[in-house]
Amino acid sequence: MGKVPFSRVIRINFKTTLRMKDLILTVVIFSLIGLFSVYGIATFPSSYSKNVWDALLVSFAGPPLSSDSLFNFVFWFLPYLIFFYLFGNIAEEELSQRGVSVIPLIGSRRKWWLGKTVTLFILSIIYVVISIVIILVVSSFFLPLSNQISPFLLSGTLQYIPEGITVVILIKWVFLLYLSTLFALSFIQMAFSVIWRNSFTALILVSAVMILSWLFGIGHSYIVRWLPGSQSMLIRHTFFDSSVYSFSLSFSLIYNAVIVLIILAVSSVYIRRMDIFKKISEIHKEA
Amino acid sequence: MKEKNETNEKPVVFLKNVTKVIRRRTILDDISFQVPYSKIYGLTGPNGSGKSMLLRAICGLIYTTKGSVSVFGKEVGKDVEFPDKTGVLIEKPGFLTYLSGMRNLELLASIRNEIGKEEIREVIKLVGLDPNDKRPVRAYSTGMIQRLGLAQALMEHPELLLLDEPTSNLDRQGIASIHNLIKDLNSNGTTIILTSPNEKELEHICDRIFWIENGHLEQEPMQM
Repeated sequence: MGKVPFSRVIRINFKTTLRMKDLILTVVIFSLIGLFSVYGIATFPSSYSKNVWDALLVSFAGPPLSSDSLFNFVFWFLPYLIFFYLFGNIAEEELSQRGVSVIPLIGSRRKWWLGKTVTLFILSIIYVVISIVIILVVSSFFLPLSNQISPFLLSGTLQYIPEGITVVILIKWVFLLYLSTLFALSFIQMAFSVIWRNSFTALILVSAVMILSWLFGIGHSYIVRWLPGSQSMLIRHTFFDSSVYSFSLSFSLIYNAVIVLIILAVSSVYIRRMDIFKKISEIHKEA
Repeated sequence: MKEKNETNEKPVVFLKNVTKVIRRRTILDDISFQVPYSKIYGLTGPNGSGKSMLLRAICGLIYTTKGSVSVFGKEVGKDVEFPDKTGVLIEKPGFLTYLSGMRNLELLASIRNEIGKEEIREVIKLVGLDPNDKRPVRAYSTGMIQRLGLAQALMEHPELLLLDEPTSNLDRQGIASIHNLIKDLNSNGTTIILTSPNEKELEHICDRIFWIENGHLEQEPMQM
């Protein structure tokens, strides 16, 4: 029996994971988020001209340090929740339904797990790119396109914007923070869903982490950078809010990378000696 | 009991003092057991006795707490993670419910890429299903899903077949056809271990039957 190439494992993961309804739900959710952002910007009284980049910042800014607005929180949290719901359980779902067939065919528990991890990372990239593109497309129907940050955004009326920021810098911040946080948190969810053999409990865990991080972060400029999930809140970074202590883009990326490495190490040890059952209840029956 | 020529080859399956403990409860208790080439061995016993768990240990789905399992001369969990040339039907088979049976098997076969569509169609026919049936698996009866699971276990031409209650959820005609299929496969050299809570069912097709209860295997085969 030849070894199964890793690229084939990834390809089959995509064939069995991606469904049209997932894409439709993603498009609908980000269209609504884009429309909300456009509405907020369009109705904001200002004499400065506005453009599509305003909508991008508003959509991905996250709740400000001092904000306890539930709306701001939900607006930031919803895209994560949708991703967790759609893709955070890809490993547990397969393990509980088809793991008995699929993993022996792949021939290695660790290759199966690494395949799921890489698939989740690629899905995170696709999700982030789709969400940015949809928000720009939706907002382009109502706001002018431009290759520069709008005078409205630069005026600081809506939010403090550092000098020298360009469209490329804004996209870099949004893409890197959103992607790294999304992957780190969904990887936590995927690992615990397999360890606990329960995708719902893992979804609750990761959602609770984000809710608590938001709540504990409010007004706490010294601890906010240490709270998991806060790394995707652009305007809680020192670059945008000078009252926040030492919260840089590099810090966030390293923080998320450390989470990923810890989860990868812990999960690899678990997966290597994992007993494969369809449902944990099956083993309880015999135990 | 039917007669077969005993071979001097190494046993296909060799279990030595296998113990499995889960949550401080002993599920398999010091089981030693071997299955020679081209035999059909049956395992019977009450529900929860450890029959399925023993098959899981043989095919590498679970690690043993003590002892060793060897299949085709290779120790499972040490030399190989999962034994080669082994087809498994264990637990209620799981498939992607929105795809047809044929499409499900195509996806599973594409992992190793060793067989083509025509072979998949043949094996689906062999278990009494229609490869042209476009209905999603969610529309299948429990018996049809069981047959599809059997097709999946057979499709890559295994030399060892582990079947956990393969005739559950089938009607009398279905049971007879699966029994015939098992006998045909065995006559072509496939070694088979199957379980059933129904001892009488095993008597029809097995060379030897072992009783298992509370994780303990009776070392003497049952009288047939």
